[in-house]
Formats: sequence, structure tokens, C-alpha cells
Amino acid sequence: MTRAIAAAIAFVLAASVGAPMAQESSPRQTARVSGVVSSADTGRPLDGALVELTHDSPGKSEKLTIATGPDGRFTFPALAAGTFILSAAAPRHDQATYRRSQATNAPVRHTLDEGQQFTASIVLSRLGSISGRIFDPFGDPVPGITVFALEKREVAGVVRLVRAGRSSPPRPTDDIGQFRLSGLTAGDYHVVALSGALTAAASFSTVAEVGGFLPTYYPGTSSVAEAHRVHLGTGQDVAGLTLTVIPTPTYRVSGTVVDSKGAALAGAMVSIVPADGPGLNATIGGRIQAQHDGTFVVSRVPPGTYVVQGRSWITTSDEPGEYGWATVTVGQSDVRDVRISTHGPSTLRGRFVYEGDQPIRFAIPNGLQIDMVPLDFDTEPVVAISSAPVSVRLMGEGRFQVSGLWGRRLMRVRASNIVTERIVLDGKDVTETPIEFNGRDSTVEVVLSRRVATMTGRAIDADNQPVPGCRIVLFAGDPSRWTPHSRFVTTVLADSEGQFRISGVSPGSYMSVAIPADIVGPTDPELLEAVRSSAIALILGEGITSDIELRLLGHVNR
Amino acid sequence: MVCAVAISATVVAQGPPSQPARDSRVDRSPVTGALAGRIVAADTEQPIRWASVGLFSPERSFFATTNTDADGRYAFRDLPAGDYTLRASKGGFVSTLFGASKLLEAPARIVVSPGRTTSGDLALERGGAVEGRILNEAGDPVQDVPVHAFFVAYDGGGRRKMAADTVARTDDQGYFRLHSLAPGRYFIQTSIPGVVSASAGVSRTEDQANVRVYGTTSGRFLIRAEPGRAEPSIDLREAAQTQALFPATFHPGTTRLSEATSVSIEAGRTASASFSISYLPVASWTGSVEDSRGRPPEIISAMLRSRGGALHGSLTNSGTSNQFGFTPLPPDDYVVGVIVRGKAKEPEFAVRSVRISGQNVAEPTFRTAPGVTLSGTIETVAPSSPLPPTGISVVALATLFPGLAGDPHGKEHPLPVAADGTFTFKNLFGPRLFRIEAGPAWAITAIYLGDEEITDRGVDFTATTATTRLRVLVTNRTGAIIGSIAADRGTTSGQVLVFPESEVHWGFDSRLTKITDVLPGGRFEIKGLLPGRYFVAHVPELAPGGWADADLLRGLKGIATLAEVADSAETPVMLKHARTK
Repeated sequence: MTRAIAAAIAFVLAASVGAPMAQESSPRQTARVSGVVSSADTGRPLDGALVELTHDSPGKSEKLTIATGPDGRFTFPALAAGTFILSAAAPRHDQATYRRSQATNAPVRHTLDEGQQFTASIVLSRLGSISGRIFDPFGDPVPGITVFALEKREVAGVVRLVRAGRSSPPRPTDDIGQFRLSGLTAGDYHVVALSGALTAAASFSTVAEVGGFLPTYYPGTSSVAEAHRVHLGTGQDVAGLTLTVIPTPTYRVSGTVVDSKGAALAGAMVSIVPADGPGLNATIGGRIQAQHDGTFVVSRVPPGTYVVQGRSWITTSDEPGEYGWATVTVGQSDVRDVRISTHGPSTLRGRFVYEGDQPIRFAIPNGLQIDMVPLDFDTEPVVAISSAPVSVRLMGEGRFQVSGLWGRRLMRVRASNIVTERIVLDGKDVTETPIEFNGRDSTVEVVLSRRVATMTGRAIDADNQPVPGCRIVLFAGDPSRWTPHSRFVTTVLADSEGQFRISGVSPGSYMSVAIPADIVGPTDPELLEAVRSSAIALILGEGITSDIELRLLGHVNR
Repeated sequence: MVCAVAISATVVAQGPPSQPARDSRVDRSPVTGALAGRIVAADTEQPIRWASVGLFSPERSFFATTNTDADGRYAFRDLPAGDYTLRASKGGFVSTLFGASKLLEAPARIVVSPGRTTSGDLALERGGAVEGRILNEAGDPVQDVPVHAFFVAYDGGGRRKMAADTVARTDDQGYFRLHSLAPGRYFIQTSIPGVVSASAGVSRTEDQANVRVYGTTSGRFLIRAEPGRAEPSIDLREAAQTQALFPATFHPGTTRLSEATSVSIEAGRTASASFSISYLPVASWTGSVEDSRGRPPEIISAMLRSRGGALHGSLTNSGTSNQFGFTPLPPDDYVVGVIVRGKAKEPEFAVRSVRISGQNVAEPTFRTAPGVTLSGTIETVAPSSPLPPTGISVVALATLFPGLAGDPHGKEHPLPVAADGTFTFKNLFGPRLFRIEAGPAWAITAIYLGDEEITDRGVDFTATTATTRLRVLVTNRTGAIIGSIAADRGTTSGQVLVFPESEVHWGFDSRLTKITDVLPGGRFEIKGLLPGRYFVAHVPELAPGGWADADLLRGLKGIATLAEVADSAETPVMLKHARTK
């Protein structure tokens, strides 16, 4: 699961639900949840799968687990009316929740009425593995190498190569160079071998640089473009891979971490992450601790370009500490005197204005949601995000305040029946430009409009049959609007009857297309360029444009 | 040997900043030196590339690490003069300290002198490995649990204990590989660490109600109901959160260390050790004790051992509380021994048998009792010479609770024998085996308690033991084995083990088993042997107490020499040097 949306906070001011129904003093437990767990590819029932029911009824919340028998069946009898989430897991299978919202991917909370007999068929996909051995150019196995599987995923609006599989600490290769990457869904993967400063070994500083290995991709190249991808079918085990690592001279990167007051950030955590390689510094990269005087030395760094980050050693939700970063290029010598200036979180203040109207006096529109979407993870502290959540305060007269911000973020405002016209910061239009939060506070004006366009329709295939669950993309024809998280590029999934609804866009001219749901990066400019000639052109006016029929594009050439 | 130890990044060896230009009026002698060397494989003499080399001086808080280059060479520069410990390691080889040829031997220090480069070459022996799969009762892999290889060692009572381990984790198939192990014998052990929150198990199918399945992050575990008891279909709410501990399991699948089978690790070879672990519910035992007057006493120490001998817990100086307990305990039979300060500040003792079967046990208050007073004599057996007037002691070895703090007797407290050969033990408790400490030629021929011969059986001293006289019969008309070991390459070291031909006389602190160090030149000498036939073997490395291990002795028979010992005679024996492959 990506952690891309961690920073968003939704604030709903809509009226709450109606008065509670009259209830008996002890709820009757007559409802039942039962079903069967089976394997996705074989269709056969799974013996010994663990099914978990998180059940909420008035006054009680409980988590129940049951194991399936050889017939794959499970039953949770005698439940009170309420709501529940149902999920299942089995060894060597991907966990599955029954079901997940197609729009948000969040687990669906089902309602359970008194006496209801709810049945569910949960399907689990088998997970596969990639294993092999790492060798050096002399033909000897190399122990102590960290190996990752990388897959293309859309993270923070951008398609990147990120670490796949479980996020538990990777096991370094053993004495015969063996590695195993497990828990992988079907797909195409790169395999990368890392050592030295980019792994946990970074914390062991060395007194002399005797060289190490470049980050090497299977079967033995330092260039991702030249690397071979490993194709994994469902539940397939690809074994016997041989990856030969490339020796390289290594160097040291040293410098100081200085805080916003100009003092040394004693004991700062310093991370080094490849700047042009896989991102998500929480998973790839080495970590060391600076000294009391804020100085640090990272040894065993192969040539390359890196983002070196510094952050306060201890961060809590009350004290998020400081964070800063610097880009460093290591060529053929040590890099000294790197200065990382850190800063604390920033606050964004602003107000909402309706186009043409006075500032909003009364309550904020229904379901208003302010998302401060991060665009990358190298330039902001991963840990600080989770310990110091972004907090949003809505004040009177349409004013708001968002604090706990770091890095480069796009501001996105969503509400029903509202579109964002413009976001202005210091006279500049930042609607589609990320705002940099470098410890200084900023003030914006968000111009909203009530002129909203909505599109409904259905997706069909070559035989005019509906295509359930496919992906609908609505995008502006002008490529300059194809920026990450653009307001002019939207995507939803069609429902089980192939029908779709897209709302919350500004009236204007667009193009639209239906594509298979499993395509990675549906809002990626490369993809939009590829499908543009097959898309239909639309003009969406204010209000609902309905009955749009989109023919599924079976094949997309990127 | 433990692999390269984690090294803090905070201190990096940095000498003083580069020397300023020499002032011709002042002679600046260098204060730092350097250390450089080459790491090679001992068997092939080929360089070991990218080996990790560590240099430490704990007294000066100095730690530095580097790696060897493609030629197997490394260097440390700008080192403050002084002595250091040097260690080299690489996956597939035994991590080695400079100057240490024996396991557990203190390594030599390497000296760095100002202005000079000390040479620190090391040859690493190839390590062995053991791999296998850990499965649960259902045959599913147990994922992501630690697996340890413990070097076989022995406690003071000759019972196995664990020392110096290497650890690896199982992968998603339950597969593990422990590598870079020094050749030797190891126990393989795994456990699921910490408290496992096992969420509601339920019958696997609604009508097959005798098995519970618990899910954990490491996989599923089955808990079988007691035989003959079919559990009705379970109300899920009651079966909700259960805290459980999975006790350590040893290859080939036992929770008892005494029943574990060791795995022999050889250089460059991979052994195999797969086994299953089962869930066993653990429980706790608590007890409270009062002294012989019925008053709550001060507890000096307590110990809990399983009947198989493994130590499961011990405590000392509980302070003022007269309550104590041990946890976690897998199902087994145990004995608890406790020493308290009782009437007139004299020690008092209690030994309880405890059976744990998954339920917590709270023992009703029990009483201690004073120990037993026992008098005895040492007598010589003709044609032995008379006893010397001094220098002889009798030892009452605790066979059930060796090392229990506050025990007035035991190996640490030999009782000197008077000039007339008499001695008196006070405060004896629990099972004891009597031995003597005397010159090397002396040996025990028999021990009697009253009319009963207790030479190698010992006595269990409870409050009701009849305290008739103890007679320890000894002789110094014993034989000896002397000999030498055919030199292999370099010097010969290690020990020579002599043990009786008959297995009947093996075991805990057998008086017929002896061990001696190899002297310079490969010579050895063992005295005080009663007439009979003995195996004689060279053991390059033997963990202390190892001679009590029947497994080990059986293994040695194949390479040992059988010798006949007669009294007052020296039997010469030539031994081949034992090979560590």
C-alpha cells in the first residue's frame, strides 16, 4: 500500500444523521455473516484461511477471527445489528478486504440488520516470489547485499519505481549470496542490489574507502533502462536469478546539519537517498546519526546524485522537530561541507472567496476537503508526516489555517457543487504549482465557483456490452494542463454495470476515454498523449451532461 | 563464534589533523602509527575480498571498521599508539580475532607503535552452515521467526546449556540458513519471541471441534484439545484474545534441551536441520514459603529446573518477600529448590516437585526444614599408602541444583578432612554425590552410607534421611596414562580426554572420566585412574563440562585409542592429532 495520501485531512460540516432509533436495552444477536474463501487463480476453496470480522454494534466494538476448514467456509453466528468490515488472509496469499471502495480504496463498512444473513465470497490472490544469488565479477557469492524488488506505481500523482512486497526490513544475502523476495503479486519487477551507504550498513562508518558496488539492477547493469524486468505470474516462483554487482570506488559525504536558528542540530538523523533512482526514502536509503555538533560523515557512497536529508532525532506529534535537505552529487572524490539547513513545519493561512462574491460569511460548503498533496517524498520528512499530522482549522468568515506542513505540496480543495477556480499566493497563481513550505508561513486566497460540470454515461466494448469496473479518464485537451493532480485530469472507475459519473470539474472542453482498470498511471501525461487520438471530444457545460458512451480502448501504446 | 559485532557510528578513527609543516627547530615525533595487513582464506591462501575488518580498544572507547579491497588488503592509518583487538569476518568464513586460535580463548592484542606500520595478517577458516525449514503441526511454514545456533556448553552440573549463538530468521517458506559457523556441535533452536496475541481460534470446521487454530503474524498454529475432550462449538466472544507464549523448541522438535540433538557443523559444508514446532501453552508457578517455625523467612535463593535438567529460572535475595515465582513454563515436570534463612539464621531448605500442564499453578504455602548433619571418614584401601594429614577435602556435589546461591556445599565449598580422616557436613539437602579433592594419584573406590553403597548414585538428603556414617574409601595405588600426540602442523594444543570403556560409568561428574591439558611438545599425563580399560582421545576444543555428554563421548570412541590401565603402572599411549577439518 502506498502512503501517498497520508497528509490529507477531510473536514465535514454537513448536518449529522437523524435522531437515533428507539433501541431495546440488550440488542438481539440474530444476524449472521458467513461465506467462503477461495483462491483467485484456481478457484478452489482455501483451507486454513483466517477471516477477520471487525464488528461495531451499539455500545460494542469487537474483532473476531475464524479459520476456514477444508471447504473454505466460515461463519460468524449470533451477531447484533450494526456495521462490519470483513477481510481474509492466508499464508502465501494477498490479504483481501470484502470489499474496497473503487473510488478511495478504503475498506467498505457493511451494514448488518437484525436477523440478516450476510454471505460473502472472498477471493485471495496467490503471491509469488523471486529468488536467486548475487555474485561479484570474480564469480564469488557476495554476502551482505540488500536486494529489493521494484515495481512501477503511481505515488503522489507520479509513476515511479518503488519497492514492492512486504515492508519488513530486508534480509541481506547470506554466505552463498542467496536472496529471496516474497509476497509479490503478479506483475513486472526490477530487481536491484544495494550495498554500502544506501542500506542499513550506512550506520557502520569505515575509516577508509576501499570501494563497494553500484546500485545494480538485474542482471548486472547500473542503468534501469538497460535492466531486464522479471515477469511474475500469479503465485509464480521465479528462482535461480543471477545478479552480478558492479564494483565501484566509493567516497564520503560529510557536512553539518544546522537548524533554523543557526545552531547545530545535535544528533540529527541523516539519510541519503538516490535523487534519480527509486524514491520513498523510508524504504530505500541509508541512515546515520550526526554528532553532537551536527556534523556527519556518510561513507561508502557510490558516485551518483543524492538527496541528503537531516531531521531532528526525536519527533513527536507535539514537537515535530525540524527537517531540511540538500542535493549532493558524488563524482570522483569526497564531498565535504554539505550544509543542511533545517526548518520546522509551516502554516498556510487563507480564505475562501466565491467568484464574483464577497468573502464567505457562513458555513463552509458541504463536505469541504482540503488536501495538501505531497509531490515527492525526498524533499520532506517521512517520519514527521506520521507523527505530526497536518491539521486544518476552519474559522469564521471563510478563513482557514493548515499547519504542520513540509515540502512541496499542491493545494486541492474539494466540496460538492464547488470547483476551485484559482488559488493565489502573493499575487501568483499557484493552482497548479506546488507551494514550498520551508519553515515560513504563507497566505493564500482560494477562489471557488459554483459553476460545476458533471458527466455521466457508460462504458461499452466492441459488442456494445457494458464493461464493468473499467477506468474512465476525463482530461483537458491542452497538454499544458496535464500536471500532477491537475484539476483538469480526473479519473473514476465504472461500476458493475459499466456506468460512471464524474463531477466537480469546471465547465469547459475535455476529452474522455475508457481504458482497462489495471493500467498504471492513468493520469500520466505519457498515457494521455497515447490515448488522445482515440478519445472523444466533449464540451461540458454547467450542470449534468449525461448518456455519454465510451468505447473501451483495449490496447494502449505508451 | 559470534559474527561481526555491531559498531557504533559515533566514533570514527581520525588521527590528528594533517601534520603542520615541520619546524626545523622542534622535532615532532609522530604519535600515531598504522596497521595494515591481508586477509586470506586459511585453506586456499587466496585473498578474501570485501571482508569486514574491525579494530577495537574498549578501554579507550576506540572502534573503527574498514573492508579489505579486491586484493584482500586493508589499512588503518593515524592510529593512536597502543594495543588493540583486531577482528576480520566475511560471510562463509569464521569470524576471527587476531591471535586467538581456540574458541573462547582470549585473543592476542596487536600493538601499534608510533611512526610504524604494524602488520596484521589473518587467515580465516571456512565456516560451516546449517539450513532447514521450520513448520508447524499443520505443515505450514513458520515465517519470520528467529532461529539460533547455540554452541554446546555445559553448566557446573554437567548439564547442557547454551552459549554464544548465531541467529537467522525464517523466510516466508519457513526456510532459514545459519552460516559462517565455527566447526563444532550446535543446538538449533527457534521460538516465537514475545507474547503472541493469538486471535480467536475456533474449530476448523463446525463439527470438527477438537482443534483450535490460532493466527499469528508468523502463521497459523494448531492447539489440540486434550485427548478425549471434544470442545463444543465455541462462542467466539469467549475465544477472543488469548495471550500465549511459544516455548523454545530445539531440533529435532523437543522443548527439552536435554533431549535436543546437536548438529555437527563442518567447514565448508552445509548441514540440514528441519523440524516442527507446536504450540504449547505456558503457565506460571508461584509459591510462598515459611520456615520450620511457620514464619515467613528471608529467601536466599531459589531455582527451578525441569526434570530433564534444564534451568528455567533462578532468583537470589528476594528481600523481605516470602513469595516467588517462575514463568513462562511449558508443560513438563519440574523441581523447585529454595534456600531461606530460618531459625537462628541457619539456612533451611525445601525441594518441591511441580507439574505444569498449561494452567497457572499457585502452590499452597510450604515449609522449609533444616538440613541434615552427616559425619564420615575417609579410609584407605590396602595396599594404598596412608592418607596425608592435610590437603584432602570432601565435596558434596549438588546434582539437582548445582550453583544454587547460598548452598553451603558443592564444588565451591570443599570440606577439609581432619588429620584423622574425619569430617562432618552440616546443612546438607537435596541429591548429592560425594567426591574428594586430593593429590592426582588418589581415586575413590567406593562410598558407603551405612551399609548402602552410594558411590556413583549419591543420596537424596531430605529431612527424613537416616544419617548413618559416611565412609569414603580411597586408594592411591592407581595407574596413569602418559603419552604424546603426533604433531600435526604447528604446535599441538587442546586437551586429552580419558573415559571408561563402559557407558555405565559415564555421566555427570563420573569419577572415572578425566581430562588434562596437552603440555608443550604434545605430551600429556593423567593419573589417578583405577584399573580398567579406557578410551583416550585428543580433543582440540572441549567446552567445560563437556565430558559429561554421552553424545560427545560416543562420537569420540571412533577416533580414540583404547588403553588398559593397571594399578601403580604407567600405560604409554600415542595419539593421533585430532583433525578439525
